[in-house]
Amino acid sequence: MSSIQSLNSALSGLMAARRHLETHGHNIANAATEGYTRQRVTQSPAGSGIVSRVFATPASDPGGVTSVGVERLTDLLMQNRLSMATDFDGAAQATEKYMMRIEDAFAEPSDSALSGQMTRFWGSWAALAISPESNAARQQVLAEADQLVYTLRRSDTELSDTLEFASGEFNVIADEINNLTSQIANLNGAVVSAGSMTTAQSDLWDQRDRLVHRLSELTGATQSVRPDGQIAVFVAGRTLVDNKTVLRVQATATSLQWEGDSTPVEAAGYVGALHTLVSSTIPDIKSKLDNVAASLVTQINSLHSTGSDRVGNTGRIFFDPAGLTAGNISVSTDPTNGVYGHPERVSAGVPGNGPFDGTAALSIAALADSATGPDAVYMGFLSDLGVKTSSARARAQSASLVLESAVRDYSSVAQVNLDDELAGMTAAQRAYQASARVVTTIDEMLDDLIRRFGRVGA
Amino acid sequence: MAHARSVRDAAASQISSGKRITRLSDDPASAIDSLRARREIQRSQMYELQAQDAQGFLDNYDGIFTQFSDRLIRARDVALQGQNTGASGAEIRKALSDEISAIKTELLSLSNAKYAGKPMFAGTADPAKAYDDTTLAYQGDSGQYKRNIAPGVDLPVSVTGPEAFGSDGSGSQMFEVLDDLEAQILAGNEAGIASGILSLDVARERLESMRISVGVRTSTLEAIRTQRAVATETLTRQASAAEDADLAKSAIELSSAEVAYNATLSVAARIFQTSLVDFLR
Repeated sequence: MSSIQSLNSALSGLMAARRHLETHGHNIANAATEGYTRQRVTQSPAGSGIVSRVFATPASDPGGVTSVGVERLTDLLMQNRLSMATDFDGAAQATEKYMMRIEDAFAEPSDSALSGQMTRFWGSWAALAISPESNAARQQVLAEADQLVYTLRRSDTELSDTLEFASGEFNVIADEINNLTSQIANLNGAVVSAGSMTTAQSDLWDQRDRLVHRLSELTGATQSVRPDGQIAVFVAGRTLVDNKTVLRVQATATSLQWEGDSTPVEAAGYVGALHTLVSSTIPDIKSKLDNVAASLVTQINSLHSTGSDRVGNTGRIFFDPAGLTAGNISVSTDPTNGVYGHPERVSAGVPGNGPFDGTAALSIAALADSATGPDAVYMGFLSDLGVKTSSARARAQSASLVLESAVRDYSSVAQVNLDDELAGMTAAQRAYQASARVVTTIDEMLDDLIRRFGRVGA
Repeated sequence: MAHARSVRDAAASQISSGKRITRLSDDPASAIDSLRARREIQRSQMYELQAQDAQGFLDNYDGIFTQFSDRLIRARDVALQGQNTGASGAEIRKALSDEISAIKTELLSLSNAKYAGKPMFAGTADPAKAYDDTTLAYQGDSGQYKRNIAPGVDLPVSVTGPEAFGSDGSGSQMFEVLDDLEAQILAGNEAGIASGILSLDVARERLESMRISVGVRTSTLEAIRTQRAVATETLTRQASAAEDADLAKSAIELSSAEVAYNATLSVAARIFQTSLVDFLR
């Protein structure tokens, strides 16, 4: 190896060390960047291979080092685990968020919520049974009934609002998914044109991984990497993105569907949970609340219509028999028999008895203790709601713990460790200094050769 | 760190609200228990209201029956006197028959007694008078006031006129008997007075047996009220056990959560401190 070649070799060392420093600097700069994967320069001895000639000779080997490229320090297994944990967490958080909101709509346990309201309503009937001749007691019954109707309707409205809000999310999510997938497709193109792995290339991968991560949170998407660095993204057995091709999704009122053939996207993740909420959980809760309203209306009406009102008339209607849901329950405004605004029509007695008879009011008040009465129906509903919400909360908590540990494991591999980077920087700095020293030494040798060669005794 | 903080916050909120359960899903089983208990407490307040009204009714009946009984005993004495006086002394007979008449009038007006605005001896009807002053016929109906004093227990708290005084024309209707005695004494008819006294005894026995029946209802009522007072106390305790925070326990939880949180903080601070950055120059 000639001296000039040695200089080149030392120079390659200088350059490699600088490359190392640059990469460490890049890592440190991105220490706080979300989804950033730390990078390492990979290098190999230059020309270490034997040049194949007629007579194999390593004499022309220039020596030194070349940087092969940049390596992304990531772990596929952990990345997969992270994306699964993200998927579950997305689903659990969506369910928890909505169940808590529904639970809030009922504000139980509290005396001012529906359960307390119903008890007061029964109490007003019992008070009417004590003073059947009193119009004030009848007014009280009507006032409590108004409150009860109001509370039922308000709970129903809140449920409907929640349902509407959840359905509305599909629009936003469809836009976001389409946006994400087209970005991923663009990045796929960019990755291919950027060629071999460099710092810039690795950053493109990071960017793409971030998008896929968000996509798996939303839909439980999985990815697979092609040999050329492009990725395919799968959702529910269908290919959402393949290289640069994208399958678009669109939102309907209750679900997400593929734009091409309008079949539903059977996604997991946030979308999956949202779909379950919108198509079964919330409507189910709504219909159970409707059962409470229906039992109030039918049971009270059947007792009330056989009772006799203040002046002995029968057939008075308490609740509007057509309003059998929590959303449209109302005190009857029937012009001839409805009790709304006509407290004297509230029936407390039974036909044949006098004005002081409270038999009918008493049997209506006794509905409170009936095993099939409205209270029992509501209690069953509440315990169902409580158990569902509590399990949603527990699932969300465990999902976030799993996600936390997956994130921790993944970041221990992929995230920038400042100590590590600083140690690497120190090593690179030393390597740079040493390479510089090599240059100086060769320079001195050459100086000796050029200036002093041939002088004797000088 | 976030976990340690959330545990600490939960303990702190238990202490500040005094409640272990602020929402259903905190503990569904206990929440439903406490809801049921609260409901039972509210219900028992309602039953108590009914029971108080029932107690008022029954006590009033007892008082009135005592007055009836006293007056009937006096009427019997007067009748016996009339019987012994026999045919002699029209003036005495007149005086005695006047006294019977006064007793009759007094009892008739007693039979119009009201409790809380409701006639006590007219069923559920609201006639001007329970018994007509001249025909002595019953003006009410056969309805009964009932009070729902416990789940499934509708206690009858009223006594109708016929129940207490005998039905019209039965021969032992109290007012008719008195009316008859008044006439017999005035006429000096010994046999008539004797049979009148027998009928009066029947009427008085009927009244006494109603009085016993009211007494039995009162004791039923008292038993139920006592039992409910105990039950309400238990329920209150249950509701409190289900939903109230155990302050001592929560306080201990809070301080141990705080220790854990502080430890996490200081460990984190140390981890974040040690970095090569500080040592390289």
